[in-house]
Amino acid sequence: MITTELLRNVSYIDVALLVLIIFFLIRGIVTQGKIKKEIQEETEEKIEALKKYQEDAFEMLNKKHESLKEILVDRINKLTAKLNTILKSNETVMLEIDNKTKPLKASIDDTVDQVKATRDTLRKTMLENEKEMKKMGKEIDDFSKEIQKMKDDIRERTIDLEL
Amino acid sequence: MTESIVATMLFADLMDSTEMAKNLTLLEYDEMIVDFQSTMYEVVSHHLSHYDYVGNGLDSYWSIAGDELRVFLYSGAVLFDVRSALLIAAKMKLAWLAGAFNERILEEGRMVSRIGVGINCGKVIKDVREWRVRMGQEQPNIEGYAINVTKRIESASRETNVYNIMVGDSLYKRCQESNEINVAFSQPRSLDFKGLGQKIPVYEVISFINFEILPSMPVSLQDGLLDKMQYAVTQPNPEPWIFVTLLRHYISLITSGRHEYLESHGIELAKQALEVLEYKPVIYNMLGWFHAYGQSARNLEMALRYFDQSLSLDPRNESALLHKARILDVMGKKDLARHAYEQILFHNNDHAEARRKVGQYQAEQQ
Repeated sequence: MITTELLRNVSYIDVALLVLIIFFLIRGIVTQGKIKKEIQEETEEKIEALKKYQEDAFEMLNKKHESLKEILVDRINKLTAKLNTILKSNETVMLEIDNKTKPLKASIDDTVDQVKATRDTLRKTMLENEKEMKKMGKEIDDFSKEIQKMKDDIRERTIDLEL
Repeated sequence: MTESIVATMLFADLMDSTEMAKNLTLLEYDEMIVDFQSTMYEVVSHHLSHYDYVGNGLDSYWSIAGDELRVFLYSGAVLFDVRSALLIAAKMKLAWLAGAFNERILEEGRMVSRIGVGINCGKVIKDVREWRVRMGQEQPNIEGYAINVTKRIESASRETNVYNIMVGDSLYKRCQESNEINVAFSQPRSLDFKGLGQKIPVYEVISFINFEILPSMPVSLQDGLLDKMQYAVTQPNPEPWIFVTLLRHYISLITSGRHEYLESHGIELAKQALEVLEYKPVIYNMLGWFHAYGQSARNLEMALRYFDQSLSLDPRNESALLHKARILDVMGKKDLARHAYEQILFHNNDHAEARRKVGQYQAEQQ
C-alpha cells in the first residue's frame, strides 16, 4: 500500500534520480569490492613475501647456526685434544715428579713422624719430669714442713724440760 | 696366747658420781654419763691414733663402762706409755671441763663433776680368753695384781686437789729415773688399801708440763677450748691444774712469735696461779721465763729474781739453775754463772750445756 502511494506521487525525474542513485550505489559497492579484493590480494602477497623472507631468514640462521656449531665443536674438540695432551703430559710430569719425590716424601714423612714421636716423647718426658718435679717438690715441701715441725717439737720439748 | 707384759694403766671415773646421782634426775644422770663416755671416747681414740698406737689389743687396749674408763698401754717403751697416760689424763680433764654437760651445769651455777685418775705401771698378763673368741671378740683380757692396785690408786685420787691424778710407786720411780718428763709429784702418801693388807705409797701429780696437751686434743674439742680455759680461771675456786696448762700454752704461743701481747697476760696469770697452787717453783720458773725470753717483758734482773725464788723453794731445781746460769753469763757475771752450772753438774753430771760451759770457763781462765 505504501509502495502504491509512493508510485502515485513520484515523477519520472525522481525515478530517474533514484535509478541513478542506485546505479552509483551499486557501482560504489562494486568498486569498493574491487579495492577490497585488491587490498586483500596485495596483503596476501605481502604475507607470502614476508613468510618467504622469514623462511629464508630461518634457513640462513639455521645455516649460520650449523656453521657456528660446527666451528665451535671443531674448536672444542681441538681444545679438548690439546687439553688432553696437556693433561697427559702433566700426568706424566706429575708421575715423574711423584716418582722422583716419593723417597724424599717418605723420608720427610719419616722425619716428621720421628720429630712428632720425639716431640711426644719429649712432651711425655717433660710431663713426667714435671710430675716428678712436682712430686719431688711436694715431698721436699712436706719434708721441710716435717723438719720444721720436728724443730718446733724439739724446741717445745726443750722448753718443757727447762720449766 | 698368754703373755706377761709391762703395762701402764690409767683408770678414771667421775668423782662423787653416786652423790651426784642423788641430786640429778635419772635423765640428767644419763645425760652426764653419755657425755662422759663420748668425751672419753673422743680423747682416748684420738690420742692413740695420734701417737701411732696400733690398738686392737696389740699395743693398747681400753674400755669404758658407766662412768669408769680403763686404758692399758704396752707399746714396749714404758716411758713413752707413761707420758701418753699423763697426756691422756690431762686431756680428759680438759675435755670434760669444756664438755657440753659441764658447760650447762656451770651456767646454772651448779658444781661440775670432776674426773679422778689413777695411773700405775706394772706386770700384767695379756691373754685372749677362749670365751671371748667364742663371743666373736678378739680383745685380750688383761689381768694382774697391778690392776687391783691401780684401781685403789684411782680411788685415792679423790683425796687430791691439784690435778686429781694419783700415781703408783712404780710410775713415780720411772719418772724420777728419767728427766724426759717434766712432772712433779707430792710427797708420798702411804695409803692403807682395803683387801691388800699393806700400805702402798702413792703420789699426787702436782705439776705436769707438756706442750702437746692442747695441740694434740681432738680437733672437734679444740674449738673455743682456750677461751673456756681462760674463763675457768676467772671463776671462784678454779681447778689449779688449769693455770699450769694454760701458762704452758701461752709460752708456746709466744715462742711461735705471734703473740707478744700474751707476755703481760701470762705474767698476771702466773701471779694469780701463785695464790692457787701449792707447788710454786714451776710458776716462778714460768715468770722467770717470761722476763728472760719475752720481748716486751724482757727484764733479766726480774727474771733472775724469780729463778732465785724458785731455788729458794727447791734448791735442786735444775731448770731454775740453768736459766740463772744463762742470765748471769749474759750479764757478764762469769764466776756466778760458772757456780750455777757447777751446781747443775753436781746433781746431773751428764748435763751437756753445763759441761760445755764449765769447760769453756776453765779454758778462758788458763
